[in-house]
Amino acid sequence: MTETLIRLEQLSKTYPGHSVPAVESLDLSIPDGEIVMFIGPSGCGKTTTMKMINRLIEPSSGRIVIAGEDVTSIDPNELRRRVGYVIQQVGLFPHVRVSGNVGAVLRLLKWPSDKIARRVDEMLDLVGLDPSQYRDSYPKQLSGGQQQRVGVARALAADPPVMLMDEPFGSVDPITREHLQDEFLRLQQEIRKTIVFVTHDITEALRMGDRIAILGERSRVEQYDTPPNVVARPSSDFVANFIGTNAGLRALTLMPIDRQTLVPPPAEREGPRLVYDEDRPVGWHLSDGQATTRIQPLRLSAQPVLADALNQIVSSQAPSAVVVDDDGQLLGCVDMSAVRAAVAGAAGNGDRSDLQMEAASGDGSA
Amino acid sequence: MATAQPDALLIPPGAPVPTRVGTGLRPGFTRRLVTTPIVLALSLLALYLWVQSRDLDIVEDRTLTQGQVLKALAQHLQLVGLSSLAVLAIAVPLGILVTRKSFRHASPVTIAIASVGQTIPSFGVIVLFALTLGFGSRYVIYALILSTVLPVLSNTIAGLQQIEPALKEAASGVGMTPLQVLTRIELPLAVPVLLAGLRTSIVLNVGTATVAAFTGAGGLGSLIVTGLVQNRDVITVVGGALTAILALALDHLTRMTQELLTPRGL
Repeated sequence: MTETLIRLEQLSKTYPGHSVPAVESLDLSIPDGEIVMFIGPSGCGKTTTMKMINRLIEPSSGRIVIAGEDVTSIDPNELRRRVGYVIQQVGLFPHVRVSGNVGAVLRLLKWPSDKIARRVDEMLDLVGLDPSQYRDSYPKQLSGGQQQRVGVARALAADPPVMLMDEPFGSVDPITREHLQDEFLRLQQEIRKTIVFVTHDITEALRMGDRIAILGERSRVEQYDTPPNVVARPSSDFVANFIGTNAGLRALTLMPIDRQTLVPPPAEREGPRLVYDEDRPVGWHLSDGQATTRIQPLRLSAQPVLADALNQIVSSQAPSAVVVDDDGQLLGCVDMSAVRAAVAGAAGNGDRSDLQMEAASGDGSA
Repeated sequence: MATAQPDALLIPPGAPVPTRVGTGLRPGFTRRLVTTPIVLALSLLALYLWVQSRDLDIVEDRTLTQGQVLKALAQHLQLVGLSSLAVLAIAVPLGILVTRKSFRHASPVTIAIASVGQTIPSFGVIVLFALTLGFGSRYVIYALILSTVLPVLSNTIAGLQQIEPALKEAASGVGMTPLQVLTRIELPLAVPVLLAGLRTSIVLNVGTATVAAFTGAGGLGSLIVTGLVQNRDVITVVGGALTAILALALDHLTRMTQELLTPRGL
């Protein structure tokens, strides 16, 4: 697995006047270049934990180590200039133009102004806002989605290795949110930051996370694993409940089809059979006297997931989905038993050994 | 990192092109800037013509000389100016102090104390100060400070408290020190509310300062008092009208300052 960039060691926070700690003895390793989602019920301490990483909340005890450096006792302002921070309320300075907002950290770092101006334009480009159109605008003149992009640009401006994101897409409408999530994932392909992302939305967590930390009371780590593993192998009833009842369907969108999943096409004597055109499967002959049902076989190189297979099965009414190589040659089929096993596994009552998953084995699951 | 990403997807077609408001002055500023002075100048002219049209007796004639009136005006301005400056110098730092995290519990107490200053009739305060501390403009100014500090103090506090906590957190989050958060974010955003308090305070001050005449500190109040004591209505009216015009003029001045200092983008 990749190297650890952020290590939380025995991190605890007890707010003054409270007898119960908000976060208690948390140990967590966050790998370099990954998005780690913190999710848990309200008040579980996930935001407190995140804010301790840039010390907006000072830990009561424990250590935070970033890239080998203990940052628990360095100047917090210095630390924050090295850690990008995006919040749900966006928090753009309303009296400062977009350029000033994006360049805020750079000015604190005392960059020369021409360099700041170039960097600001670069950042606006990066988040998909035309600099010439938006750099002189005030935040009020932008839509919610555009404001959040500026927020992301501000957090990225100083090129910090670490970003903290506190429900950054929580206050925009669902369509914009999905759009921003997609964009952000694309951006992350490019920038490869180490990101701690707090959310209360399990769909977002499964979609965005390389890893999910499901936190219970006092930020106790209930499970820390990849999305497919969390869905398929919830470590406890708490996690299973948290993922919710349609976990099975979510699982299908997360589980890749690979060669081991594939089975040979059904025997050709009776019942439905595959129809080939020049050795390439193109459709099904479902029963005698019926025309061929044409299909679009799944290309293995396009990294299909079980949900794609289910979709093909349902729309073609054939017993299984067809998977081909780049040349269109048959590799094998995915039948309903694989889909069923995945759903059953995710629901927590199936024979989990049936599942074929490429997910890396998680470390530190509780 | 960060090569430009040519991705047209990111800006939805038909997204509103932001208008470039917020650059330069707000629309209508010039009109608002000149209207009030014109009206006030016309009022002054009317007052002057009215006084000229009267047959003034010797008392009126001697009191309403240019020198006398200007002297009263200057004294009045001095009382108002000095006490308002002092109010600013006291109330703004105090307001900042009591809105800091570690002093947060002190702000209701401070407001309560300042309220007492405004609740006691200012006439009483001025006379009380004159009797206990002595006569003269110095003690009048003390009394004026006490009577007019509340609006600035409470508005400084309100202006700072209205700022969203998330915004201050974002400012800390990008690495601003507490002082930078105060000077770059909090104060600019509190300015409109703070100056609204100053306006109230100044208008209040202009009126209250007329009472200074009773303790021999002069000002426009002395015209009013002379008029009343000598039973000369013309003098009273001139004193009263000039006080009102001065109040309106200063109100206008602070309003325009407020508009100029209010950050764009709000």
